[in-house]
Amino acid sequence: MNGLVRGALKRPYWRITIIGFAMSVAALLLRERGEFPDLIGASRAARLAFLPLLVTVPYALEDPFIEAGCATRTRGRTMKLAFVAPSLVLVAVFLLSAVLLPGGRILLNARGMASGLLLEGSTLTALGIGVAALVPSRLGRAVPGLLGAASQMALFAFAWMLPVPWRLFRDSPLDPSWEAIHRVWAALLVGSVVLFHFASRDRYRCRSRR
Amino acid sequence: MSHPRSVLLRLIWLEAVAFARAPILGIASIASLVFSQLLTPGQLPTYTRMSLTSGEWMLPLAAATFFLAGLRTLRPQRWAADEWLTALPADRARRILAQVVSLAGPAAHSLIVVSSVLLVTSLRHAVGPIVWAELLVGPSLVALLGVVAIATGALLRSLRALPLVAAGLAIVDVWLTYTGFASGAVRSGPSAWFALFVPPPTTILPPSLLSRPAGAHVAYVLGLTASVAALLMLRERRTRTSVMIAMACVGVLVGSVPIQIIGSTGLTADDAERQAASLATGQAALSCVVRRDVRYCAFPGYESWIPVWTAPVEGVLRLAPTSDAGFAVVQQPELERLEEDVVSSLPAHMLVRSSSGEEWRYDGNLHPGFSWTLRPFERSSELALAVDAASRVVGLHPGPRVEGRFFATCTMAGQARAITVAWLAGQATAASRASLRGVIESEPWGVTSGEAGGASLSAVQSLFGGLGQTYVNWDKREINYGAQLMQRPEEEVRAVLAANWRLLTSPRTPTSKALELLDLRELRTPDQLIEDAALAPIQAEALRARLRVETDSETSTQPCR
Repeated sequence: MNGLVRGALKRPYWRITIIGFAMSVAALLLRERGEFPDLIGASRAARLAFLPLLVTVPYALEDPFIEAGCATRTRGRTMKLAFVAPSLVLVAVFLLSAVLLPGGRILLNARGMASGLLLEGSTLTALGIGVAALVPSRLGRAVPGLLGAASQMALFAFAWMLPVPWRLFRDSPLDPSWEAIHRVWAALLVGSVVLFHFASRDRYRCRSRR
Repeated sequence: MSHPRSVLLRLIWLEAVAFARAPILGIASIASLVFSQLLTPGQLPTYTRMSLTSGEWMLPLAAATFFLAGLRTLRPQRWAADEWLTALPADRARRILAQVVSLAGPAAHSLIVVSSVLLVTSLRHAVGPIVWAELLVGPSLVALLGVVAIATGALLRSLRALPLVAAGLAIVDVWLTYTGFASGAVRSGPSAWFALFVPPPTTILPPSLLSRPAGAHVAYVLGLTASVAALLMLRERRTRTSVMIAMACVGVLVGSVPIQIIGSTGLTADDAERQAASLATGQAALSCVVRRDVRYCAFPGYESWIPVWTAPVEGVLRLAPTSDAGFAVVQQPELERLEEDVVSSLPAHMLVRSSSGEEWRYDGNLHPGFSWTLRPFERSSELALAVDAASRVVGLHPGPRVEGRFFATCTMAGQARAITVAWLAGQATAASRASLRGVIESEPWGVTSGEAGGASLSAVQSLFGGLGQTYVNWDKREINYGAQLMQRPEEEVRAVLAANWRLLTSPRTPTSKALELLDLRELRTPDQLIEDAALAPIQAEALRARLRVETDSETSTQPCR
């Protein structure tokens, strides 16, 4: 158990998470002062601000098997994610409140926007973790994390750049296809969680030493 | 012992082969090819737009090169050793130089993708001129992102840094391009030109009318690539040659900056006058053909769109019981897409000016632009041109008119000829029929649940306003009657129209008369619709109040003559 906790609290991961968080805050500060706060600007700023933080999450799975010793992969990975998730939620709430509460005022439809953005963020996180879990750690220490982050950035770029009707990022909950698009995000989230589950299954039973 | 130069060549060869063998580049190339065709959905392709968006559709290949170059630079961290590479007697500087030079492989690969995109686009019958210098932006970005990845690997020596650098680049790029991330408005100042992906204007104009200096952005991106590479090499080995190369590269970068800024802060007076003159004398440069007594004129390179314009125009003329069209179809850029300097240099007789801006002077002709939307449910270009043609046929001339200091709008509400226009335009072609049905379905006649959980009555808003007739308000009621008429046999409606043509095209004939002549079923009134919807009293009262405001606004607008 101690090995699992030590693995979960590994220093390099937290270091890049802090850098990612700093970049997210910097992205929010790049918004122009005096700009009229609106949902479209808020959604664009929030998505961009989330990006640096999101791409650090797949590194949480860095070689858990090696560091966890005899513990199973599933337990090792679950333990890591259990440490990561609360901090992610806190940071997400902070970033969302920064963009949706300009000057202490709640933007109209902010609740719908917040839930939509959280779903998108969760899906991107789950995709990165799922892909990272799929990549064998023997390829190198940071390679699973890198490929997980690359898959997140690919989905982000397509969601941002593809034209309507394929664009997965919509500007505001007033968009008539907001709900339909978020059903697609939800399906992607379920797919990513299933991917993570199957990629993290233990192929070999760990024998305890006598 | 091998000669250092042959070792370097060997290193370059091995790195290039490794790039060429990576399957991800092939997958990314296919993604770029697909992306290039998806960027303008529902529009007829133009080579000009394809050229101006090369940076965007090359993104998958550029991103794949970024991650691949980063992985190859940080090979030791991956516990992956390439025996041939490791065994070669070369220092770190040569190895990095070999990796940078080997990026010529992915860049060449991207040129093949460019050729493939052009081939696929030509198979889709694209029109317009190709802007070759802009097409090279994509391959330049592939080289730039590759060099940035190598520099990240060499300087930070961490695979974990790569995605953060990519995310940082994305944030800075969006910040440079858009005004504070908000509402997708592209920055008008020079900073947008420092972004890697410069979004093209919404409406693509022919290259002779573009303010963007062709080739300046390629020079900027290539200068940036060479500068990053040269500074990286300078850090590894400070020799006189490397210092001179670095200075030359930075010189190219610095030199490209003023070209970009000049291009973005407006045209020179000569350029503006030249463009204005080409527009003023444009009629001579246009290629024109006459089909069934209607003259169609297109800019050079756009001639193959003439059959596209012919379909809705001939469709309307076939249905109307009149032989004289009385208009020509002449391609014209939208005025708001031209640079301000060009507009101010245009001769006064071409424009109508008011306090709210300028408009082309109305000449009675139809003016399709430089994009053609096929999408059936919104801003379908075929329906728009059919509406324009049908308006001329019934004697409506929707040109800009100055009243006081501003442009005035007029309303078609209550006029029988609005029903005639709706039927002629909707019935003209299969595409315009689908578009009109789409318009009606997207804003049905009745009480609909609106934003914020309330209910709205979309009854008196104009419907065709988004299709290009800026100064004419089309009433939803007449458009719905026109759609009702489309359900009847065409010959039957044509016969009634032919028998009552003067009455049904007169601005003085009221809608009620058309209902009688055409035997149309009367629509429920807004008050009846509110009662039918059985809304809560407070909601019903709010709707009635909103309806009163809309009706007052509509009745205060002057009827179209």
